[in-house]
Amino acid sequence: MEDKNAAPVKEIQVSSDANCPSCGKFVGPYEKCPYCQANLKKRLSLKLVKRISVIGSIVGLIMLWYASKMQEIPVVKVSSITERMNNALVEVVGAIVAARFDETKNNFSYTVADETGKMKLNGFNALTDFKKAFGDNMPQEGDKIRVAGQLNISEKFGVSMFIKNPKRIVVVEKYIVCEKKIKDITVKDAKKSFCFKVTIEDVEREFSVGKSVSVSDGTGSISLTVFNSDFEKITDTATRENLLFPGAEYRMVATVDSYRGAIQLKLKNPENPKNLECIKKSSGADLQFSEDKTSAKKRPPKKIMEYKEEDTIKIEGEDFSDKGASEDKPKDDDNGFIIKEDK
Amino acid sequence: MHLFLTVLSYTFIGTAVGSLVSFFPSLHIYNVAGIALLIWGSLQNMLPEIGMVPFFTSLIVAFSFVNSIPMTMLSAADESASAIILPGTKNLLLGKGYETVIMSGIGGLIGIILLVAGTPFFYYIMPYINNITRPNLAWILLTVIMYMIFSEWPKGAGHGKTVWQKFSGAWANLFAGISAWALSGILGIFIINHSIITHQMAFQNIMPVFIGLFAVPSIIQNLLLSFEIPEQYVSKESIDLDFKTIVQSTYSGGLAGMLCSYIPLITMGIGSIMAGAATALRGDKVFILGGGVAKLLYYVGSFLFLFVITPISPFGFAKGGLNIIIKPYFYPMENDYFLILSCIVLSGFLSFLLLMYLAKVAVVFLKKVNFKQMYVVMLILVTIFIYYLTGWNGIFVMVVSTCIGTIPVFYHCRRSNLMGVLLIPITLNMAGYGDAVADFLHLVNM
Repeated sequence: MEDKNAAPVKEIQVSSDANCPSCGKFVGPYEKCPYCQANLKKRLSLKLVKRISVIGSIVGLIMLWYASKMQEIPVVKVSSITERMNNALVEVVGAIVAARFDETKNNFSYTVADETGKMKLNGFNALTDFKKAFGDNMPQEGDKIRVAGQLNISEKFGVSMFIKNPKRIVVVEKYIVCEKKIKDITVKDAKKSFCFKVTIEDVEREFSVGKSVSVSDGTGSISLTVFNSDFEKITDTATRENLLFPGAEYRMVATVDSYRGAIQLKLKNPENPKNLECIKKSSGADLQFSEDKTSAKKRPPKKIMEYKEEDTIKIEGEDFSDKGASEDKPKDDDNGFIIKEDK
Repeated sequence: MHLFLTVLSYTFIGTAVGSLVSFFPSLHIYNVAGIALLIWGSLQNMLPEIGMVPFFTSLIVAFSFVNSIPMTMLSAADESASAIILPGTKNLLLGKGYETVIMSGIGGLIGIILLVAGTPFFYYIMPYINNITRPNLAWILLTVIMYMIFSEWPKGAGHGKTVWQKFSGAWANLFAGISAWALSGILGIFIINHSIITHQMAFQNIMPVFIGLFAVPSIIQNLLLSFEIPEQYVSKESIDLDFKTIVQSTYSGGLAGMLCSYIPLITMGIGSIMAGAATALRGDKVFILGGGVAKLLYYVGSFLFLFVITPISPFGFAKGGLNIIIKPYFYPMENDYFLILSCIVLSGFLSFLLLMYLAKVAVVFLKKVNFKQMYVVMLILVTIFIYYLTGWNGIFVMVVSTCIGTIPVFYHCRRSNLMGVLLIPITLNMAGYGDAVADFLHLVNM
């Protein structure tokens, strides 16, 4: 309640200099605020700090951009990658030892090996972009590449690298497929790809996930394994259908592989028309091709690659020295193959 | 029995170390976890592998409780601080700092109860939600970005004598918010695409950025501004909470916590703003208690989701710094969830007990310590820490980040705008434009 009889009070205007700039209380001529202990003489201007923060942000970002731009991407060896490098942007130089393309999911992956080890490159939802960028020169098995990307290291999946941008892969050395005769194939050619000109001899056997076809080039015969997934990848109908008919002639890129000690061929990227070309159709090619869904049949191989026990193949840590080649009795594998090696 | 004792002992050790470290302002647990992991890596042959996850889990649980002390009493904010720093500081000036800390701790306990009670939801419903939302994350994050920009409001409108003064007063903090957002986003693009920090320490390349954006500006703010902290009262008998407030806070904080524990890149500050708008619940107590709930769900829940392994979520759906740090060293098995949940429960209740004790220590500490000296020491400590892990390049990144981080502090806009540092580059990456932007800036040259 206001006292009407009280003497009138005039509000005193205090100069802003007399107040503490930190806590706002009246301090008069003090050099140090008695309330909050703030220094009243030597003070850093808040306006200056504000300006520094804005100017520093912009200048700092420009400097950071320049530093990032100028910094070279470190080239690392696969074996030198440690857990601490998770998310690091690095460059790896190596050869593609395996390539996998998944058109339906638009994904692809490469396994790249340098002299110290192997790692995976994963392109998720990027296959179309890469195919568009590279066209027919899409990096393939055997190509030596330089690739830059961010490492993704996990206990479960090990070391891998995400690649999203085709510009981050440079093919240093394109692997050129050499022509090879079947008779010249040795165990040293394992996992290598060559170009063969062959004639289809017979379908040796059928198994749940594909077929084994005997092919010959006049110098020898060898089994060619064609998986159902390979058939699906062959876009040209004639090329696909003739593959199962004796007498058809093909120019194909195939990889020398082994199965339980026996050397065989596998189609390499049959989706690429350059890798599988039908040069002469079989007389029975007009027959309708249909995928065999019947149960596996077991037949002895028509042609068997000569294989010596001392020609042991060691691939990716597998040792075939005591498998297949050293046994005389035919035996079944999981896919219904009968494996027999004649000596 | 051996397994039980190992897990138990590492839970105790993690809780103790986490509580101690979290007591000091400006040290974020993810940075400490990075150092701890380096030490663990070098002693890998001596330490049991089974002890690793209980240790790191307890570390993060203790942090989500005890970090309330520096955040409230020592004004050291991390990226989640915007949710509780203002009412917390207000209470501190009213002498209610202790009560605020305990209130936040109670929120943490509610968060733990929610994690236990939510287990069936996490197992039977979340994986389906995850499968639906993951492919759509780019536009979900874009929506969050738009919400964050548009929900900044003019704070100085109507003041000033001229039209220009009124206009600039209204737009100053809006412009500051958008600038902080954009500058931090550009910084994020540089850091995510081509960090200048050595590749040998890439797992910590975001650390100088976060320390620069959040910790150092808080230190600078505390060094520049002076206010007298009144003596804090330690309430012995009761806390100013009622049942209604607890229910409201659980609702608001639970929603905020679920948003920020599940959606990548959404921090507690952003989650709390969104949950606050959704629930329309106001009040300091709801803010502080709900903040405690959300904080626990944000730090601990997001890590726990790593262990929700079902046929449709074979890798869980974790997010957060600890998940990224620990990924190269560990992956979860199907039955790890309950082991980790039990560690969380044990560590949580232990942390709350430690919080009650440490909050009293902090009250005594407040009377004796010279704040400015303490912050100078913390600044030196943090700088040494960055230098040790990332070298001069890390220091440079920290300085640039600090300049950007001081914009919200001095121009009065939300600090959560600074999360543009991750939101912008990662949304660009998810939308498929990240590399195009990096190429445009010539960041990756082969």
